[in-house]
Amino acid sequence: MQEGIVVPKPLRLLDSDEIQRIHDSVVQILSKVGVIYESKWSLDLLKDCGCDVDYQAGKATIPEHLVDEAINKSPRVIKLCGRNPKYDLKLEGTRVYFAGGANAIRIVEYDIDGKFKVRSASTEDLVNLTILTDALRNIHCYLAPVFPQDVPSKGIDRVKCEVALNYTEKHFYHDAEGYEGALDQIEMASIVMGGDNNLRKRPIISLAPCITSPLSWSENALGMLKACAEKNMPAIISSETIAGATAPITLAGSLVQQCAEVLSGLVLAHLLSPGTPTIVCTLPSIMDMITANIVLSSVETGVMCAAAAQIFREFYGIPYVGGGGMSDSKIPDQQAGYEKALTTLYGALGGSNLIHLASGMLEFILSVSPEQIVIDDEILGMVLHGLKGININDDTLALDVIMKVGPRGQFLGQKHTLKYMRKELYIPAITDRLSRTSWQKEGSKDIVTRAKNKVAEILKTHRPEPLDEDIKKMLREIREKAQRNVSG
Amino acid sequence: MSAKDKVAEKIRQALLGFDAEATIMQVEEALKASLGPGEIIDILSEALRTIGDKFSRHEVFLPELIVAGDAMKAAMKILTPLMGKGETRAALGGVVSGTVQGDIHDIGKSIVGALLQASGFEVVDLGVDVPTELFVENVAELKPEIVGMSALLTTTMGEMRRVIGKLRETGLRDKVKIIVGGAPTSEKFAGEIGADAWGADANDACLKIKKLLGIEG
Repeated sequence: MQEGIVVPKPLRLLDSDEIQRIHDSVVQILSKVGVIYESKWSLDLLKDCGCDVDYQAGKATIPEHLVDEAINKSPRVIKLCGRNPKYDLKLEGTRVYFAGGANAIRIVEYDIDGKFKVRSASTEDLVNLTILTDALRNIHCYLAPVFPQDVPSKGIDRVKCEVALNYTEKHFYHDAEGYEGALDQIEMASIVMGGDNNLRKRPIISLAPCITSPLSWSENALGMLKACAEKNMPAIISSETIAGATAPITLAGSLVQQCAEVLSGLVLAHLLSPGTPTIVCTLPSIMDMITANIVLSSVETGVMCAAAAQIFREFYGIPYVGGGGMSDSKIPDQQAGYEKALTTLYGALGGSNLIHLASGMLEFILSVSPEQIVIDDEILGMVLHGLKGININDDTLALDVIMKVGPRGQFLGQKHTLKYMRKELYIPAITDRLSRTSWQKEGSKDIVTRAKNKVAEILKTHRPEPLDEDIKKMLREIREKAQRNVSG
Repeated sequence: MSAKDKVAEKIRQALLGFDAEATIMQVEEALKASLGPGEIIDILSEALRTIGDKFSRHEVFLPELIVAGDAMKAAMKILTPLMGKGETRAALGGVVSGTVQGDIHDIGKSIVGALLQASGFEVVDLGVDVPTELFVENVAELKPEIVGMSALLTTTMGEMRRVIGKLRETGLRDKVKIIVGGAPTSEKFAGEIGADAWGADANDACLKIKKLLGIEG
């Protein structure tokens, strides 16, 4: 299992009265405003279980007791597994992990002399960036960084699933093309794990059904949720509000809506199959008030994630996934650096169990940069290290060693230093800490150049454990069938 | 594995584990098991080179290098007097180093010393606040190949010029190569005061010293 970091004293942006007021508002929205569910089967089920349903509007209002019951049926701890057990994740309490970026359509590549090339992302890019992500130690969970542009867009969820199963040993999750797409992906994972039973015991795949804000579940997302409930696979029930556009401009109002939205999915999941491994997820963005662009890199995203992490941990007791580490800069530059550091730090300090989209993402998550993925791994490593806080005990207080060294002595060669240096300090991978002279001697390389070298080195040497040929063939057949059915 | 090999392996493990006490203990065990002091020095030197290589790959950190260097030094104190006449183990070169008078900053030159030791140099560290005369006496007596001086203060860096002047007066200047370093110093400054080289940082100092002596790698 990957340990992540258990945050000893998480950031608490809200007090319990404030959380109660948020929850009271959530209950009002669910029971009075209601939520649209596009699929008739969902409305039927909700009606049978005591919701008021307006079939004309496709809308259900959910009474408070159903929300409470769903929360009570939700597991407090969720285990997400990797094809390789060393990559297992345990979402619980204040344990924090990171997951990579998803679905970029463009690749930004460092060229020379500070210039970047931008091109359309291909399946080959998807494979390479999957291998790259598999190798990086601070990206604990995988999302397909690329939405390949060289294959028909229908059936692409199976393409991404096939690549994930082949080229990463880490846990992964995606969206899916509805119920059928979700079942196909679960089937593919089941083949790799040697059957449904094994997969249920060690779920190497999750699915992330996402509501369309405000307050509307598409048939596509409901199909994914249904597949998860039927197959008992982890469902990451997501809300992606845009403050000022698809949600209130106030952070509090956005939070209320996010909570109502994910709970409206949670209720349905536990009506479908009580005890479904459910996780809630928010990706709270804002709309830029000048360009109308959907900004994912703002400090508000970090703050809302920190608050949501607190609400779901302390009040609802449900594992929480947030988003962070995205930049809206077009290239890996200083803006990318500070946006990524700031948003991941807030969400992580809040104790988000998993923060996704945290590597490689640029330009409103339309672009991904291989160099940025490596730089982000370093940012995430530093954030994780800082989350440990300060460990206080007799040995770390170091009174003995301070006495021994005394005035004018030095600590460099002390046993105490040797014992703790690797634990207490973060050891950077590509951060520059050379003297100017040494840095010049090594070619005066900036961070992106150093990252480019690291990318090349990883792609040359890293090989995830390959699947057996017959398994590969079965996966390929499922993917090809989906692509044929769609085109035919 | 022969008994001798086993003893050698234990020495290596102690040093590679950065355990100074265990290293000394194993050296004493080895002597009891009738390994010659020369043989033991060879085992230690080889282990120290391994540590130096690991340091250059960032697998070993400075504090470990320093501990290993100190352990080697302590072992040499035991082994050198036991060496037979004519039996010598050639170091890459001798270095006399210190922080100049008026300056009590210790760590920089200690790091350089540790690096040099790990590369196979014999280092005599005169400590901090070292008077000019002490540098001169040690150069006269120990006949090192290298003199290394360190200063962290702009107010004390001028002392280096005095030391070089004194070495010139006593006719010792041309018998040694002089390298200087420390935060306020520069290549230009080193040239102005008549030093042979300047170390930008510890690694650079180590490389420059090897270069001064024409040592590969």
